[in-house]
Amino acid sequence: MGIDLSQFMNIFFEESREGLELLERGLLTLDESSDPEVINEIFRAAHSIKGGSGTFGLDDIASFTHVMETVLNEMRDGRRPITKGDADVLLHSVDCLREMLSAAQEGHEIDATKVAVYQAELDALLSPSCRPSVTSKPPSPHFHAPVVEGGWHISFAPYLHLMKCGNDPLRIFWALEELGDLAAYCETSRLPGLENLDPEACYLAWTLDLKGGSLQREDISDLFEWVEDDCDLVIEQHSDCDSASGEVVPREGLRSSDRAEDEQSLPTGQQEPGVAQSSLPGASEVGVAISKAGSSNSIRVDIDKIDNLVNIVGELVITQSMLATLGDGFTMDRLQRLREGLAQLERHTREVQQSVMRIRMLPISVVFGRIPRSVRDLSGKLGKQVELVISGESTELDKSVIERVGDPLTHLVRNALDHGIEDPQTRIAAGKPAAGKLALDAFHQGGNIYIQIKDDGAGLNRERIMAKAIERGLVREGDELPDNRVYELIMQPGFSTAQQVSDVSGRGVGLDVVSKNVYALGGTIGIDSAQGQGSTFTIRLPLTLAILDGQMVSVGDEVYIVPLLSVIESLQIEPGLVTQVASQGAVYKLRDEFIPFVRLATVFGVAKPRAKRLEDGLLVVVEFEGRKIGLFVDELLGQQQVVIKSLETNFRRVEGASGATILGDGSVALILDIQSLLRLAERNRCHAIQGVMT
Amino acid sequence: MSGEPSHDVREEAAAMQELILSATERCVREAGEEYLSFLLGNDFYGISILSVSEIRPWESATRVPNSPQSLAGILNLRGDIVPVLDLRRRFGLKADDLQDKTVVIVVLVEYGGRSRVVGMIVDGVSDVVQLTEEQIQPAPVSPDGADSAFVAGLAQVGQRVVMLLDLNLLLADLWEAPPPEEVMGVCG
Repeated sequence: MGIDLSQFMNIFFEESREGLELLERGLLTLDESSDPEVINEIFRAAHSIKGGSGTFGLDDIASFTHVMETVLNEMRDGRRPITKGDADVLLHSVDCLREMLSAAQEGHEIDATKVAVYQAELDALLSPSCRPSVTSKPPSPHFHAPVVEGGWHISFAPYLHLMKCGNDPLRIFWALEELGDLAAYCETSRLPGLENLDPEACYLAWTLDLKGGSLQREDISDLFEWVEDDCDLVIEQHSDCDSASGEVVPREGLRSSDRAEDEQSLPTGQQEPGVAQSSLPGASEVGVAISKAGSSNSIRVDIDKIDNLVNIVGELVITQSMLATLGDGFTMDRLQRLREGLAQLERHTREVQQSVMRIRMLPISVVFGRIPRSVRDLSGKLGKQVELVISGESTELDKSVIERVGDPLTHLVRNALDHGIEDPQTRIAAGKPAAGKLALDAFHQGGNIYIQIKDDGAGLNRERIMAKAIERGLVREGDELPDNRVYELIMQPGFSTAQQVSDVSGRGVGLDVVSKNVYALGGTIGIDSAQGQGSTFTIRLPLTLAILDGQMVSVGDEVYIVPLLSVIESLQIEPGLVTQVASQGAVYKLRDEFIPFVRLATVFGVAKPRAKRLEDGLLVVVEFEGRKIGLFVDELLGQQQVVIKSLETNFRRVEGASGATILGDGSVALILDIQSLLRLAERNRCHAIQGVMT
Repeated sequence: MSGEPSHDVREEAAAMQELILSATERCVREAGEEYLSFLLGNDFYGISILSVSEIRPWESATRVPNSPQSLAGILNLRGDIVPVLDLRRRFGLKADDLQDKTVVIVVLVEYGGRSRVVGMIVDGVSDVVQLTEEQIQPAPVSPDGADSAFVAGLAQVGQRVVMLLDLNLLLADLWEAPPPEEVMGVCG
């Protein structure tokens, strides 16, 4: 069994990862409600992982999951109260399991001591006694019940269908024989008469005695793993048995009714091994490993999207064959129909493209899903109380963007928790509720996607930031800066006004990496804040829908595309309406307002623009987030739908452009990014001042 | 579709080829790697053949605003946007204007953990040479210390010295975005 296994293993890993997410989600809410269905779901998730890993020979994972499953089973049956402490332990186990799965998938070794610590934690849950006190015994790789000389007593009562599942008790017994001296007694009371006998059913039951030195419970239960669910199984050590002597009297056949009683003896270990309560590797450590490992190369798609695509392709095929018929023996009187056919072809092609791009879109809940867990862990670690509110989870973005937005998002959340939200005492003293509120929101607007992280914490201290900026020479003393420009200073490298550096944040390394990552995605970060009341971080990302309605403009020999969404109007300039404003460059008086006047030729360094005088060119008024600017160009060329091509794939982000496209003649044209243009224009302000007054 | 090296260069190239062939016959087949050699100014350079994707004639490329002189522009390569670096300018050589007979070598390089396609403008493409480890000598450190880290080694091929280039190092700064201005722009 080697060849086909790998593709199934990949499916197994994917499903297990999903299962773990389900587990985690369920466990997070487990302490608040005890809806039985939730526990059932969690149990089933663990069970599947156990089964799957057993199938593929990942025994470590299987046995680890088995313990988790046992605990969950007890909770499910109501034999165990559900406490936050237990949920925490299980959450740690989920982390461990994630690591184990990644290690298995990537084929490298997992740190056995780490796993052992988690294992010990889990095992501790199952001990009937209370948590062990700290001893100095160092953890060893195998935490099992202490070895007892003597032997084991096994009651094995298969259900009728056991053999139909492909299991043969005989093989199990052979395996048991290899462990030690085996004595087996068969219970035949269930055998019906020959005429009623189903030869494929198992009517027999056995009691087995296994004598062997240093046998552990796991060695035996492992052998029964395949049939666990298909039988009644009790494994006991001789010291537990009622009979004092080594001889064991064959028991009566076990019935299902005895099951409940027998179940109890199964999970409980004996004396608790002395576990050194060493400190667990922080969830955050493990967490770091997780987020790197799991990005898979497949995607889950809503079936509606696929159906839509299938329909569109169907229509495309019809159009194509219609055109083929037209082309057969074409005569000029068919020209009009040809034109119509081509227009239809274009429509369908566009629809196909849009439909396919939509397939790559995933809801942002994929990323948001990780947040509740890190908020929970982090708030616990920092000693703060946080109420997390998430909205807009169904907002969709391209898969590649989603994968890269997770890290910045996580960091901003950690930032909000560490520096934004205050500890409960401070909050109460300030008249705020003890629990801070952290709101995560995502929405589409104007061809972009916005992700907002809003906290009601301490807010940013403008003065401190300015002071630090002046100290670092980023800003000159006496410079006037609008509030949000000041706040954005904190994203400069090495900039941190945090009084203390925690291991979570504060070293001043985080925010600039975040802003670089967002920038590389073609987006921006905006910061708004009110001291004492809170801060809002807004990430704006372009939607990577491949198609854009564009207005082509020419400047000299070059062609640029202005997104039609941002164009308000285009007009001929009245030179008298252009004025120079001292610190702000040129402005144009558009009816009642003054808008910045930007020469594209200057901003983009075009060598020979054709329109030198203002009357010779055109002004294209565009807007961004409510702000207008006028772009001075040579000519307006047509409007057309263009396909957005990534600049970052082989090249890099170009300032002033949000992407590029390929024109009908095969040449490349840059698509303008209005916000970035604004910034670029600011920088070239002095040049623009020189350029305008001609 | 290589450019037209000048007459004597071609003769020398032919002679080099013969020498290489006989040398190759003597060497063990498996030993050594293949390099594509090309001409920049009067010098021969070589790059691993494995990184060469194709060789194309020059087509016009769209200028990238506010980019260094050595970046000739971006062009459309079967639907992908590919940057084109003028290696002549990059090496500080006098560069002829870009014409139809200029040659572009399209290469694959690694940056930021993934593969990228880049075009390089050269004066002419020469032969593929097979070089063993012994034939490659370490590059001398240039006296002015300037950016010659990308010269991975030197090899003698016939009469010529071929400078072998490490493309990943040579092209690395292509992807460094110009530093964002100190105060990050207008956002409100």
